[in-house]
Amino acid sequence: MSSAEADPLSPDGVFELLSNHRRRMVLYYLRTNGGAVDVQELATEIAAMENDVPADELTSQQRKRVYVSLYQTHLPKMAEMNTIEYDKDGGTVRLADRADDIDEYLTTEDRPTYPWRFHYLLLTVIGATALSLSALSAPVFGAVPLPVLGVAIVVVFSLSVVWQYWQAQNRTEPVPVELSRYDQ
Amino acid sequence: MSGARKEICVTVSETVSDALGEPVDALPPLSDAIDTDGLDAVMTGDSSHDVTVAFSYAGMTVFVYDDSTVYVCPERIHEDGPTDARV
Repeated sequence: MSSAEADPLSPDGVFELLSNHRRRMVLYYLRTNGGAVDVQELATEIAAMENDVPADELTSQQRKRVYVSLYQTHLPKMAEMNTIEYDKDGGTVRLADRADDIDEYLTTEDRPTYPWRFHYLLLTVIGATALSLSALSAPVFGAVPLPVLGVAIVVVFSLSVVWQYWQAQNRTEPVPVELSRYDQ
Repeated sequence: MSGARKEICVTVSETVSDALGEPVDALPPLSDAIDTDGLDAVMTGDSSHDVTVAFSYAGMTVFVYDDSTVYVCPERIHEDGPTDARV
């Protein structure tokens, strides 16, 4: 849909979406699995979570009721709100862009994050001080040639950037517990 | 679990599917015909409420009563009253 880029979810939309446990479970399952998921598989997994039995012990009725409710009501609604991409012909769904809008309404785990701003501020101050002292031929610093000091500073900055990038790439976002909670 | 009480939309889809002799997958989304959250909300199952919802869906007129009884009939003849009753 071309409007996928356009409208962020309104708070009302987010809470409407989250007001149904099956829609929460859809978000939860898609979030934990990633990529495109077969609707039949999604229905089976949700039925298993709801009934608290392994997927292969579900009755066909348990499975079918979830499938029908997903197929007929929840998936079209979620697709309309651009939180999932729903390929009806292929029978698959995947998370869409707007799904991220929901996150800010859910609790996030307090995770210690490294204060990168102060890291770079400190590096800048240290680097500038060292360069100044070297340029002024102060004791110790004067003995280090300026180019060497310059290269050292660039290397330290580069390593910091690589480290920060690596950390961001490897961060796994925890799935908010609210999405999986089933209490009716 | 109390899930069955809340599944009026599934009952509607299955009833229409049976009446038309078509698989549920072949029906248009029920959410295009009615706000399904709203239907869930008014079908409280509370016997002190007296609620009936009627709407058109897949060429049928669907009547939903608050005891979760669902009747469907082809749109053209429903002035004769609900037929083809099924729960």
